[in-house]
Formats: sequence, C-alpha cells, structure tokens
Amino acid sequence: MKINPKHDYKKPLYAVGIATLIGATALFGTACGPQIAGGMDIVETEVQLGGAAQTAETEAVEETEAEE
Amino acid sequence: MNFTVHLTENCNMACSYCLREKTPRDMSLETLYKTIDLAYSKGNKAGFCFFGGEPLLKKDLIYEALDYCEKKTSETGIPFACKMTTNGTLIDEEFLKRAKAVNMKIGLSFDGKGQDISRRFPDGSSTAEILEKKAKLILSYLPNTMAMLTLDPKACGVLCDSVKYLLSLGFRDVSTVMAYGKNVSWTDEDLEVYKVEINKVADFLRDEFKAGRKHYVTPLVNKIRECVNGKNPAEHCHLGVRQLSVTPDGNIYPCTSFINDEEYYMGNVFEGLDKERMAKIAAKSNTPETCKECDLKSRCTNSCGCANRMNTGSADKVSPLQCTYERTIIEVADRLGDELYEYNAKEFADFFAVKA
Repeated sequence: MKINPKHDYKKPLYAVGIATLIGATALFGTACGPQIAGGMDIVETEVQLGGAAQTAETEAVEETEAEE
Repeated sequence: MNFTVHLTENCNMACSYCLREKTPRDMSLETLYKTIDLAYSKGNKAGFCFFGGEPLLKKDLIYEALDYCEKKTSETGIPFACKMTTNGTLIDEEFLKRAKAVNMKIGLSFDGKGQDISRRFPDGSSTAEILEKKAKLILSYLPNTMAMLTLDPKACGVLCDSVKYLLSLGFRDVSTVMAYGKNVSWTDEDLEVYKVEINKVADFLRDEFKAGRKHYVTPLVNKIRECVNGKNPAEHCHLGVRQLSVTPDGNIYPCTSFINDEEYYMGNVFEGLDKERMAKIAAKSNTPETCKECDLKSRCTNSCGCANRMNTGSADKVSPLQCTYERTIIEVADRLGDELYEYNAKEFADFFAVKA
C-alpha cells in the first residue's frame, strides 16, 4: 500500500450523463478542501452518528422515504 | 449546534480494535444539562449523539437528557434531534419506546458475520447471537436504524456475506468502515481480499437494484451520490466547526479521536467555547500536501482529521492505507455507478440524485 496520487482519472459515465439528465452544474465538488477562515464559527448541520470514521451516513436515508 | 455526548467512558464489551480507554468515569447530570444548554444557545437547532464508551450504561442520563431537551424546546421553540451509537447489548423495549417517541436514530455497531471475530464481551464470550436478537428488536421499533460495520482485517473475507446478512435482517442502511489505529494491522494481502469483497458487494447491489431492491450501503452508495451531487466528502468533516465531542467532564474537542489531547482542547461546557482555539484547530483541516495534485482529492476523505490522526498521528497527514482504500472504493463505486446508469438512467437519477 502506498500514497499514490492519481493523474489520469476520467469522469465516470454516470457523472457525465447525469449532468445532462438533471442539469447539475457542479460535479466533483470543490477543487480544494474546506475553506478556512480565522474565527470560524460553528457550521450548522444535521446531527451525525458519532464514532470517528463512522461518519459515513447516507443522508438520503433521512431525505427519502424508505422503500417497503 | 451539535454535540457527540460521551455519557461514560465505560463499556460492557471489549472489542479488539477499539481505541477508547475504558474508565468508570460518567458524565454528571449538571454537566449534561450544561452541554444541552450550550447546544441550544447556538444556532437554530440542537443535536445530540449519545455516545460513550457504551451510552446505554447510562440510560438514566439519556432519559434525563430527553426530558430536558423537550423542556428546552418547549421554552425556546428550538427543535432538537438525537441519535445514538450503541453496541446494542443493553437495549430494551422500554428504551426503544422512548427512542421512537423522540424519533431517535440509532447506529448499531454490528459487524455481521465478523461480529465474533472482534466484538466480544470482556470474558471472551460471543455476542453474535445476542446482537442478532437485539437487531431484530431494534428494527421492529426503528426501521431506519443503521448497521455500522467496522471491518477488522481478519474479517475482510466475510465482508460481502456480512453485508448480505445485515440486509437480510431488515437493515435498510448499512455503513462499512475500516478499523483504523494501533490495534489493527492491515497488510497488502488484506487489501487484496478487501478489493475482491467490495467488488462482490457492488455486484450484489447492482443485481438487487435491477430486481427493484435498492439498498443504502456505504461507502459505495455515498461515493456515487457525492459525485452526482457535487459534494466533497470533506464537507462532512471539518475539524472543530461541525459536531463537537463533549467528554464526561464537560471538556470539548473536535471529535472522538482528539479527546484529552491538549492541543485540540476547545473549551468546556461551563465556560464555553474558546474561539481562538477553534480557529486554530479549524485551520488544521486542510487537504494534505500529498493529495493536492491528485485528481481524486475532492472525492476522498483525505481531510478527515480523525482517520488521519488514527493512522498517522497527525490530523493533516493521510496514510498509505487510507489512500489505497479510497482509490479502491472510488474505482468500485464508479464501476457500480456506470453499470446502474447504463441499466436505467432515470432510476439511477431517482435514487442517487438529491432533489433540489
């Protein structure tokens, strides 16, 4: 295992296609990490389940109705 | 604002990969009330994740917290939300009735077919059978409960079976994360096994999707969703500005991995947050140097201070393990996403795209 930056990554088909389908304008998020500002205050979000790297909740479970 | 509330440092299990030091230290009622007061004092909503150790060792405190929150909400109009991460062994119907009444979301730590590999009682006895019974009980009251599977390298070979098993019990939401830190040791061979297994999970999810059954299994589903919706995983975690951890003594830290580290102390619930310290800590949450030129930097969790710290000792340094893992799951998620998109673009959009 090693740190291996990727330089030949191509957008997956679904990412290209879905932009057309839903008119999404922002893909792949921001180009850099979160913006840092001095004196940054608390950002309000939905409460997450605790546990280090276990903050991998799929928010859509809250947003959509569970399928029967 | 949101807090992860460490009600106790004690636990009734002895999971082999756990990094938390167990002590009999419990949060006092006064500290609990102060924590809640502080949460209500900032922002338009208050959120609490009950945590530990094992939070159900302090059921009394949870009931007190809920009563107090209901009173505060009635007085202030500020709504509250609550969640809980638990090993599940101590849950009962009385608790579940109360949890249901306040719409509590529970994250049940359950490793599926790998449960008895790493998650046993202190005397070494099995927890698998108990967890299956408790899982069914919890789901009967709270069907949106998340199964939180922490993958020990020794359990890699049963990852796909574990996911299938958890879904068969009725979980609609299964989160799989790697066990990190000094109590586990990942090898290249383990990661090869992991790659085979996560590909099997992707194949299973694809076949289920085509059969009309859609499952929320992370990290695969959220990697696709983040890509579709233009979300940077770094938005989930920014040290010290989102959900903070409160220890039993009332001290505040950016997250569970930083507890009792003086460098990351942010204040306490009696005197409040130290804004200067908060700003310094937030400034540490940046894209690591090794990742700045990587095409995947906005798709991976390279800026997760917790994971970085557990693996490298430093919040802003990513580990080879984390990099290898992220590259693997992004590749598998993209393969799955492409297959589902080609199968039915509209169904794909309905499931993965968050509507405005």
